[in-house]
Amino acid sequence: MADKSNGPKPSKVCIVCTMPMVKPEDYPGGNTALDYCVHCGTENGIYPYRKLVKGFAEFMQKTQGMDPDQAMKASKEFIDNCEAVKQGRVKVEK
Amino acid sequence: MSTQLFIKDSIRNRRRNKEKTRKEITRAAIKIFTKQGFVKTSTLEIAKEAKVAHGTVFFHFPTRAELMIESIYRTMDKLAYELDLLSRKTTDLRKLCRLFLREISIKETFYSRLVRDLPQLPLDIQRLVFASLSGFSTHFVEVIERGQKKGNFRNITPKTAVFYWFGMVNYLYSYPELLGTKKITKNEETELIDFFIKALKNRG
Repeated sequence: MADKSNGPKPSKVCIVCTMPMVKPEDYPGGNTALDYCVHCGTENGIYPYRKLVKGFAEFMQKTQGMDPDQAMKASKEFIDNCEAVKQGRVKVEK
Repeated sequence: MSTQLFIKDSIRNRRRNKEKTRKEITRAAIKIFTKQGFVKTSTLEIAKEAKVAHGTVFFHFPTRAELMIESIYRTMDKLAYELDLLSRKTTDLRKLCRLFLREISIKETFYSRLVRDLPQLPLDIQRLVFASLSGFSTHFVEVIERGQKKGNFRNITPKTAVFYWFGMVNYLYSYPELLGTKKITKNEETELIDFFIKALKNRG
Protein backbone atom coordinates (compact mmCIF):
# COMPACT_ATOMS: atom_id res chain seq x y z
CA MET A 1 0.00 0.00 0.00
CA ALA A 2 1.27 3.45 -0.81
CA ASP A 3 2.68 6.17 1.41
CA LYS A 4 1.63 5.53 4.99
CA SER A 5 0.81 8.34 7.39
CA ASN A 6 -0.47 7.03 10.70
CA GLY A 7 0.71 3.49 11.19
CA PRO A 8 4.17 2.01 11.28
CA LYS A 9 6.02 2.68 8.08
CA PRO A 10 7.59 0.15 5.75
CA SER A 11 10.91 1.35 4.44
CA LYS A 12 9.71 1.52 0.86
CA VAL A 13 6.83 0.60 -1.42
CA CYS A 14 7.20 -0.62 -4.99
CA ILE A 15 6.75 2.24 -7.47
CA VAL A 16 4.74 -0.09 -9.72
CA CYS A 17 2.47 -2.24 -7.57
CA THR A 18 2.87 -0.44 -4.18
CA MET A 19 3.87 -3.66 -2.42
CA PRO A 20 5.72 -2.85 0.82
CA MET A 21 9.38 -3.80 0.50
CA VAL A 22 10.62 -4.76 3.93
CA LYS A 23 13.19 -7.49 3.41
CA PRO A 24 15.99 -7.94 0.86
CA GLU A 25 14.05 -10.82 -0.74
CA ASP A 26 11.35 -8.30 -1.70
CA TYR A 27 13.84 -6.65 -4.07
CA PRO A 28 15.09 -8.05 -7.39
CA GLY A 29 18.33 -9.88 -6.63
CA GLY A 30 18.08 -8.64 -3.04
CA ASN A 31 19.23 -5.21 -4.22
CA THR A 32 17.66 -2.85 -1.69
CA ALA A 33 18.78 0.21 -3.64
CA LEU A 34 16.05 -0.48 -6.19
CA ASP A 35 12.61 1.10 -5.90
CA TYR A 36 10.54 -1.69 -7.45
CA CYS A 37 9.75 -5.14 -6.14
CA VAL A 38 10.77 -8.62 -7.15
CA HIS A 39 7.40 -9.14 -8.87
CA CYS A 40 7.73 -6.05 -11.07
CA GLY A 41 11.20 -6.42 -12.49
CA THR A 42 14.68 -7.82 -12.39
CA GLU A 43 17.99 -6.25 -11.40
CA ASN A 44 18.23 -5.08 -15.00
CA GLY A 45 15.09 -2.97 -14.85
CA ILE A 46 11.32 -2.79 -14.50
CA TYR A 47 9.38 -5.19 -16.70
CA PRO A 48 7.79 -3.77 -19.85
CA TYR A 49 4.22 -2.48 -19.65
CA ARG A 50 2.47 -5.52 -21.12
CA LYS A 51 4.22 -7.94 -18.79
CA LEU A 52 3.37 -5.78 -15.77
CA VAL A 53 -0.29 -5.53 -16.77
CA LYS A 54 -0.58 -9.28 -17.39
CA GLY A 55 1.17 -10.14 -14.13
CA PHE A 56 -0.95 -7.83 -12.01
CA ALA A 57 -4.17 -9.02 -13.70
CA GLU A 58 -3.29 -12.65 -12.91
CA PHE A 59 -2.49 -11.65 -9.35
CA MET A 60 -5.93 -10.06 -8.91
CA GLN A 61 -7.69 -13.06 -10.42
CA LYS A 62 -5.89 -15.33 -8.01
CA THR A 63 -6.21 -13.26 -4.86
CA GLN A 64 -9.57 -11.57 -5.33
CA GLY A 65 -11.28 -13.94 -7.71
CA MET A 66 -11.82 -11.20 -10.28
CA ASP A 67 -13.23 -11.99 -13.70
CA PRO A 68 -10.29 -12.15 -16.20
CA ASP A 69 -11.58 -9.29 -18.38
CA GLN A 70 -12.28 -7.05 -15.41
CA ALA A 71 -8.92 -7.94 -13.86
CA MET A 72 -7.19 -6.96 -17.11
CA LYS A 73 -9.00 -3.61 -17.19
CA ALA A 74 -8.29 -3.01 -13.49
CA SER A 75 -4.65 -3.87 -14.00
CA LYS A 76 -4.27 -1.46 -16.95
CA GLU A 77 -5.96 1.35 -15.04
CA PHE A 78 -3.79 0.71 -12.01
CA ILE A 79 -0.48 0.43 -13.86
CA ASP A 80 -1.30 3.49 -16.03
CA ASN A 81 -1.46 5.56 -12.85
CA CYS A 82 1.49 4.07 -11.01
CA GLU A 83 4.52 6.08 -9.93
CA ALA A 84 6.80 4.32 -12.42
CA VAL A 85 4.61 5.55 -15.30
CA LYS A 86 4.45 9.06 -13.83
CA GLN A 87 8.26 9.07 -13.72
CA GLY A 88 8.38 7.94 -17.34
CA ARG A 89 10.15 4.70 -16.46
CA VAL A 90 7.38 2.52 -17.87
CA LYS A 91 5.84 3.44 -21.18
CA VAL A 92 2.10 2.88 -21.44
CA GLU A 93 1.13 0.86 -24.52
CA LYS A 94 -2.43 0.99 -25.79
CA MET B 1 21.01 34.99 2.18
CA SER B 2 22.40 34.35 -1.27
CA THR B 3 20.01 34.22 -4.21
CA GLN B 4 20.70 30.51 -4.68
CA LEU B 5 19.86 29.73 -1.06
CA PHE B 6 16.74 31.85 -1.25
CA ILE B 7 15.53 29.95 -4.33
CA LYS B 8 16.28 26.58 -2.69
CA ASP B 9 14.39 27.65 0.44
CA SER B 10 11.48 28.89 -1.56
CA ILE B 11 11.25 25.62 -3.54
CA ARG B 12 11.43 23.63 -0.30
CA ASN B 13 8.65 25.69 1.27
CA ARG B 14 6.47 25.33 -1.78
CA ARG B 15 6.93 21.53 -1.71
CA ARG B 16 6.14 21.46 2.01
CA ASN B 17 2.98 23.51 1.51
CA LYS B 18 1.91 21.34 -1.39
CA GLU B 19 2.30 18.21 0.72
CA LYS B 20 0.48 19.88 3.63
CA THR B 21 -2.46 20.83 1.42
CA ARG B 22 -2.64 17.32 -0.03
CA LYS B 23 -2.76 15.85 3.48
CA GLU B 24 -5.41 18.36 4.54
CA ILE B 25 -7.60 17.46 1.55
CA THR B 26 -7.21 13.75 2.34
CA ARG B 27 -8.03 14.31 6.01
CA ALA B 28 -11.15 16.25 5.03
CA ALA B 29 -12.15 13.55 2.52
CA ILE B 30 -11.82 10.80 5.13
CA LYS B 31 -13.94 12.80 7.54
CA ILE B 32 -16.75 13.45 5.04
CA PHE B 33 -16.61 9.96 3.45
CA THR B 34 -16.91 8.43 6.92
CA LYS B 35 -19.79 10.72 7.86
CA GLN B 36 -21.93 10.52 4.72
CA GLY B 37 -20.43 7.86 2.51
CA PHE B 38 -18.59 7.75 -0.80
CA VAL B 39 -21.65 8.02 -3.04
CA LYS B 40 -23.22 11.11 -1.51
CA THR B 41 -20.03 13.11 -0.97
CA SER B 42 -19.11 15.76 -3.53
CA THR B 43 -15.63 17.13 -4.11
CA LEU B 44 -17.05 20.59 -3.35
CA GLU B 45 -17.97 19.46 0.17
CA ILE B 46 -14.46 18.09 0.63
CA ALA B 47 -12.96 21.38 -0.58
CA LYS B 48 -15.10 23.30 1.94
CA GLU B 49 -14.09 20.98 4.79
CA ALA B 50 -10.42 21.30 3.82
CA LYS B 51 -10.82 25.08 3.42
CA VAL B 52 -9.33 25.07 -0.06
CA ALA B 53 -10.64 26.15 -3.46
CA HIS B 54 -12.56 23.50 -5.39
CA GLY B 55 -9.90 23.58 -8.11
CA THR B 56 -7.18 22.82 -5.56
CA VAL B 57 -8.79 19.43 -4.91
CA PHE B 58 -8.49 18.57 -8.60
CA PHE B 59 -4.94 19.87 -8.76
CA HIS B 60 -3.94 17.30 -6.13
CA PHE B 61 -6.42 14.58 -7.14
CA PRO B 62 -7.36 14.84 -10.82
CA THR B 63 -10.10 12.22 -10.39
CA ARG B 64 -12.55 11.40 -7.64
CA ALA B 65 -11.23 7.82 -7.72
CA GLU B 66 -7.71 9.00 -6.83
CA LEU B 67 -9.01 10.87 -3.80
CA MET B 68 -10.97 7.81 -2.72
CA ILE B 69 -7.94 5.55 -3.07
CA GLU B 70 -5.74 7.94 -1.09
CA SER B 71 -8.38 8.11 1.66
CA ILE B 72 -8.56 4.31 1.78
CA TYR B 73 -4.77 3.99 1.95
CA ARG B 74 -4.50 6.55 4.73
CA THR B 75 -7.26 4.93 6.74
CA MET B 76 -6.22 1.32 6.30
CA ASP B 77 -2.46 1.73 6.29
CA LYS B 78 -1.86 0.23 9.72
CA LEU B 79 -3.91 -2.84 8.88
CA ALA B 80 -2.15 -3.26 5.54
CA TYR B 81 1.27 -3.00 7.14
CA GLU B 82 0.52 -5.37 10.01
CA LEU B 83 -1.12 -7.95 7.75
CA ASP B 84 1.96 -7.82 5.56
CA LEU B 85 4.34 -8.36 8.48
CA LEU B 86 2.26 -11.14 10.04
CA SER B 87 1.59 -13.04 6.82
CA ARG B 88 5.32 -13.22 6.10
CA LYS B 89 6.09 -15.18 9.23
CA THR B 90 3.00 -17.17 10.10
CA THR B 91 1.08 -20.18 8.89
CA ASP B 92 -1.51 -19.45 11.56
CA LEU B 93 -4.55 -18.25 9.67
CA ARG B 94 -6.37 -17.70 12.95
CA LYS B 95 -3.92 -14.92 13.89
CA LEU B 96 -4.40 -13.24 10.54
CA CYS B 97 -8.20 -13.36 10.84
CA ARG B 98 -8.07 -11.97 14.37
CA LEU B 99 -5.79 -9.11 13.35
CA PHE B 100 -8.08 -8.30 10.43
CA LEU B 101 -11.27 -8.26 12.52
CA ARG B 102 -9.72 -6.18 15.29
CA GLU B 103 -8.19 -3.57 13.00
CA ILE B 104 -11.36 -3.29 10.94
CA SER B 105 -13.39 -2.76 14.10
CA ILE B 106 -11.22 0.28 14.91
CA LYS B 107 -12.13 1.81 11.54
CA GLU B 108 -15.61 0.30 11.48
CA THR B 109 -17.56 3.30 10.18
CA PHE B 110 -15.17 3.91 7.32
CA TYR B 111 -15.00 0.21 6.38
CA SER B 112 -18.76 -0.09 6.58
CA ARG B 113 -19.19 2.91 4.26
CA LEU B 114 -16.73 1.36 1.85
CA VAL B 115 -18.41 -2.06 1.60
CA ARG B 116 -21.88 -0.53 1.35
CA ASP B 117 -21.04 2.16 -1.18
CA LEU B 118 -18.53 0.45 -3.45
CA PRO B 119 -21.12 -1.61 -5.39
CA GLN B 120 -23.00 1.62 -6.19
CA LEU B 121 -19.98 3.41 -7.63
CA PRO B 122 -19.01 3.29 -11.33
CA LEU B 123 -17.27 0.10 -12.45
CA ASP B 124 -13.97 1.88 -13.16
CA ILE B 125 -13.82 3.09 -9.55
CA GLN B 126 -14.74 -0.39 -8.29
CA ARG B 127 -11.88 -1.86 -10.34
CA LEU B 128 -9.38 0.67 -9.03
CA VAL B 129 -10.39 0.06 -5.41
CA PHE B 130 -10.15 -3.71 -5.93
CA ALA B 131 -6.72 -3.30 -7.48
CA SER B 132 -5.59 -1.07 -4.63
CA LEU B 133 -6.89 -3.42 -1.95
CA SER B 134 -5.50 -6.58 -3.47
CA GLY B 135 -2.85 -6.57 -0.74
CA PHE B 136 -5.45 -7.55 1.87
CA SER B 137 -6.61 -10.73 0.18
CA THR B 138 -3.06 -11.61 -0.89
CA HIS B 139 -2.05 -12.15 2.71
CA PHE B 140 -4.92 -14.57 3.26
CA VAL B 141 -4.07 -16.43 0.05
CA GLU B 142 -0.39 -16.72 1.03
CA VAL B 143 -1.18 -18.17 4.45
CA ILE B 144 -3.84 -20.53 3.05
CA GLU B 145 -1.43 -21.81 0.39
CA ARG B 146 1.20 -22.43 3.04
CA GLY B 147 -1.39 -24.34 5.08
CA GLN B 148 -2.31 -26.38 2.01
CA LYS B 149 1.32 -27.31 1.40
CA LYS B 150 1.53 -28.57 4.96
CA GLY B 151 -1.64 -30.58 4.44
CA ASN B 152 -3.58 -28.57 7.03
CA PHE B 153 -6.13 -27.14 4.62
CA ARG B 154 -8.27 -28.65 1.93
CA ASN B 155 -7.06 -28.38 -1.61
CA ILE B 156 -9.52 -25.73 -2.73
CA THR B 157 -8.74 -22.66 -4.83
CA PRO B 158 -7.63 -20.02 -2.29
CA LYS B 159 -9.93 -17.45 -3.88
CA THR B 160 -12.91 -19.54 -2.71
CA ALA B 161 -11.70 -19.13 0.86
CA VAL B 162 -11.22 -15.40 0.21
CA PHE B 163 -14.84 -15.14 -1.04
CA TYR B 164 -15.98 -16.94 2.10
CA TRP B 165 -14.03 -14.77 4.56
CA PHE B 166 -14.66 -11.39 2.97
CA GLY B 167 -18.25 -12.39 2.25
CA MET B 168 -18.79 -12.91 5.97
CA VAL B 169 -16.91 -9.80 7.08
CA ASN B 170 -18.49 -7.56 4.46
CA TYR B 171 -21.97 -8.88 5.31
CA LEU B 172 -21.37 -7.92 8.94
CA TYR B 173 -20.24 -4.45 7.93
CA SER B 174 -23.03 -3.98 5.39
CA TYR B 175 -25.61 -4.12 8.17
CA PRO B 176 -23.75 -2.87 11.26
CA GLU B 177 -26.84 -1.56 13.05
CA LEU B 178 -29.19 -4.42 12.13
CA LEU B 179 -26.75 -7.15 13.10
CA GLY B 180 -25.06 -5.37 15.99
CA THR B 181 -21.70 -5.91 14.33
CA LYS B 182 -19.73 -4.15 17.05
CA LYS B 183 -20.98 -6.63 19.65
CA ILE B 184 -20.60 -9.65 17.38
CA THR B 185 -17.01 -8.94 16.45
CA LYS B 186 -16.19 -8.32 20.10
CA ASN B 187 -18.04 -11.22 21.75
CA GLU B 188 -18.13 -13.82 18.99
CA GLU B 189 -14.77 -13.27 17.35
CA THR B 190 -13.53 -16.77 18.17
CA GLU B 191 -16.66 -18.45 16.81
CA LEU B 192 -16.52 -16.49 13.54
CA ILE B 193 -12.88 -17.42 13.02
CA ASP B 194 -13.23 -21.05 14.16
CA PHE B 195 -16.06 -21.64 11.73
CA PHE B 196 -13.98 -20.30 8.84
CA ILE B 197 -10.92 -22.36 9.80
CA LYS B 198 -12.99 -25.53 10.24
CA ALA B 199 -14.47 -25.07 6.78
CA LEU B 200 -10.95 -25.01 5.38
CA LYS B 201 -9.53 -27.90 7.39
CA ASN B 202 -8.42 -31.02 5.64
CA ARG B 203 -10.58 -33.83 6.91
CA GLY B 204 -8.84 -36.55 4.94
